[in-house]
Amino acid sequence: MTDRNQISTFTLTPNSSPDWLDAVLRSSLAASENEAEEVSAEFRERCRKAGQRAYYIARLRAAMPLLGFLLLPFADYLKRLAALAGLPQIPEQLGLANPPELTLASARPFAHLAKQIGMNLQEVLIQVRVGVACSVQAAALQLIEARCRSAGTTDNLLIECEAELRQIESQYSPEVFRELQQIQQEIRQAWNEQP
Amino acid sequence: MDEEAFVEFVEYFGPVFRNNFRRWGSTEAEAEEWAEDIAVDIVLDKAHKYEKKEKGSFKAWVLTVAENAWIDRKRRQLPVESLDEIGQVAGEAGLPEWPEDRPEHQPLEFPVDFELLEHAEPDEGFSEIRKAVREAVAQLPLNQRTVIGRHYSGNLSFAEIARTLDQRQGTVRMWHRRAKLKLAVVLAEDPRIKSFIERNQNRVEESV
Repeated sequence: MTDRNQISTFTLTPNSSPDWLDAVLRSSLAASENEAEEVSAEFRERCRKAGQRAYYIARLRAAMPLLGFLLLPFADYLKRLAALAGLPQIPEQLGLANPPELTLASARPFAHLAKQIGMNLQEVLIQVRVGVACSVQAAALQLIEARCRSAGTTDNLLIECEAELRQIESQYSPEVFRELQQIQQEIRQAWNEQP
Repeated sequence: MDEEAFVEFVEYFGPVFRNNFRRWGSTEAEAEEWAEDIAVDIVLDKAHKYEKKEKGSFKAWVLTVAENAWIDRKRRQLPVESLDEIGQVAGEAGLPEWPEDRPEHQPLEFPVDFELLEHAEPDEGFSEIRKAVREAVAQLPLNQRTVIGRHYSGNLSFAEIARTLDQRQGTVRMWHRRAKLKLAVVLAEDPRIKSFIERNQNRVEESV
């Protein structure tokens, strides 16, 4: 029987390990299945879209080794990759416009996607430069291809391609050259971010 | 490749991670962003590494992977490398271990029967206790919070925690003891806990 006049006290010393604290920690910290219901509908929707995005990334990633490196503007390369992966277009869940267009504003999501699907930064940057070259000079791609025809390995291909690009870029206006540098800078920064 | 499987994985684990991260002290925005990122990262890069024989249930394994990812990200937010250093740095701004002005040989006394908490019926007031406990745990330094979370939420032994954190068992036990002392000091003074005990005390007395 409980004595109404009895006052229970709790004494805490630096070496205490009270049982009540163990009980409270266990019951308070145990993961509850019901807690998932506390999550907002918006977050659930976000997770559903993230799951779809993961699926599309996995599809593109699986197609990457089949396609390898191609001398194409970056956005065109992604379209080609999507087609090879059996996707009719680049899915909106990947966060790019459709059709995808690489600009300073869209450089970050492009870079994140490229990294997630397992592309190589050097190859991405060359494809970005190829894209700008094609927009400035209609015959740029043919010039680069002609120079790279006898390159042999991918490493040599990249070296030859960069040499030709340097020549083409030397004729850019300061504005175009600055914008290209900004896009490249944005891509490098995004590449080093998490994830 | 099955689209449904990817979606189901992130739809299921995203909210679970989010709630765990909130419990371990992430803000709501951080918990949601990291939960989404980490769930995607696991389904894309890690899920295929799961080996049933070695790692127990798939769910427990995924939760451990997510927790390690959360710790890695937390570490990157702090200007120190080791968990032990994190404990020292975060401890300066965190909960007091023992009231500074009180000699260690002089115990703290509270006129409250905390033993009631061991046998209390979880009524609606218990969610207040849970909140108080989680708020207090969130104020612990990362190393102590990690041990408390893994021990009480993940049901891991100290030996298992030591292995997953790459620390000695004695170190883990010390972090646990320090964390519990801080929590006891803070929770014993928490008005939500006091009022829960009073309510339950009255209930016991009325039933007599």
